[in-house]
Amino acid sequence: MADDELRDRLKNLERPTFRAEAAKAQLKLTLVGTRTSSRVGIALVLLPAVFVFGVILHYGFGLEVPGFSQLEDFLSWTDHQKYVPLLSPLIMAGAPLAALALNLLAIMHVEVDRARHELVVTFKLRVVNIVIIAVATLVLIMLAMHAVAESGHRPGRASATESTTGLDQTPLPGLAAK
Amino acid sequence: MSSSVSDTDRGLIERAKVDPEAFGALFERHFDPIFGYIARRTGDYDAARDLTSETFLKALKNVSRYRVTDVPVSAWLYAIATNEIRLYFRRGRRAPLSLDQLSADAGLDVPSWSELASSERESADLELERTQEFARVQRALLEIPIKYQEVIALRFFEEKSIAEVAAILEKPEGTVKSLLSRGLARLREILK
Repeated sequence: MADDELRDRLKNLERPTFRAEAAKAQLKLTLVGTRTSSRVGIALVLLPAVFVFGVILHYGFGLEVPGFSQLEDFLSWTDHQKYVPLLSPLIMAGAPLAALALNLLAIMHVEVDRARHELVVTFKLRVVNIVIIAVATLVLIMLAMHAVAESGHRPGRASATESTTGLDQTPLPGLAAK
Repeated sequence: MSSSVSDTDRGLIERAKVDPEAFGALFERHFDPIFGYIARRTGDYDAARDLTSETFLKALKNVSRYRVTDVPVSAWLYAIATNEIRLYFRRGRRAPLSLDQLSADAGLDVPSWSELASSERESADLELERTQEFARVQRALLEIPIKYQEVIALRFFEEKSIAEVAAILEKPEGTVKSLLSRGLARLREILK
């Protein structure tokens, strides 16, 4: 077979064409999916994290944190609103909890090995997801500590207007007369 | 590739550097040719799925390093794909990570995707059976050194010009012509 003959044969070869719509859709979702959990996690944890760390820096060390006072005023406003009483707890506790769950699910894989009677749990080492989990956990711990500290300031123990964060300047409902 | 398409690709890739969502448009444009290239080189639908995933994952990770003044986007993607195919053969036809595993990690429902993949796999097998002459040439190609396989596949299966093959393989055009000539000589010996 001459060189030209082989070249012509290859040029005229009918090439297979493949349908891969399922693979395309699956890969596109996968490419987006690996980033979605971390982006949503950042969005959920950002506000509570800024608030919690802002409280520490502002009241603990006397440092000014950009945007903190506006955030503080907003949360104080929501606390006193009749129709959105749950907004503040949703932002401060619900959002970090959701961020924690979302990012934990993104990196955790659970498998049951029936043959060996083992439950195998693996964690993917994805830095962004792990950082969000750490920040969300820290925010939740600090909120829990604040809640415990606040419960120590309930009526019977201390004034109802006291608050460790300086946020709540009004008495708790139903307790002003005491 | 026409200059208008190339300009659009360049615009998209510049946006993808700051907005990864823009990568989706590049993905839509280049998935089919890349998948087809890998499937024709490997002759295996499942390998093509996995290697195509690896190609686009690496492209997404390295998009910030891509320079618009370098090779066209298409050539860049083909270069990544060619490298993945090379590694695949070196690993004894084993892909590093399957698309199904990637999807499971991302929390997608893998069984439903597997059913769709099954029907596409059957179509791919039928298509390879239909193009028997191609399958014969492709099997013969696998018997020659990989450096010749690459130039022949890109030149004749993917219909790339010598300049495009040179850009993809990052070799001078003279070297590409020489590899093509020697590769065809080897292939001729196997096919006769």
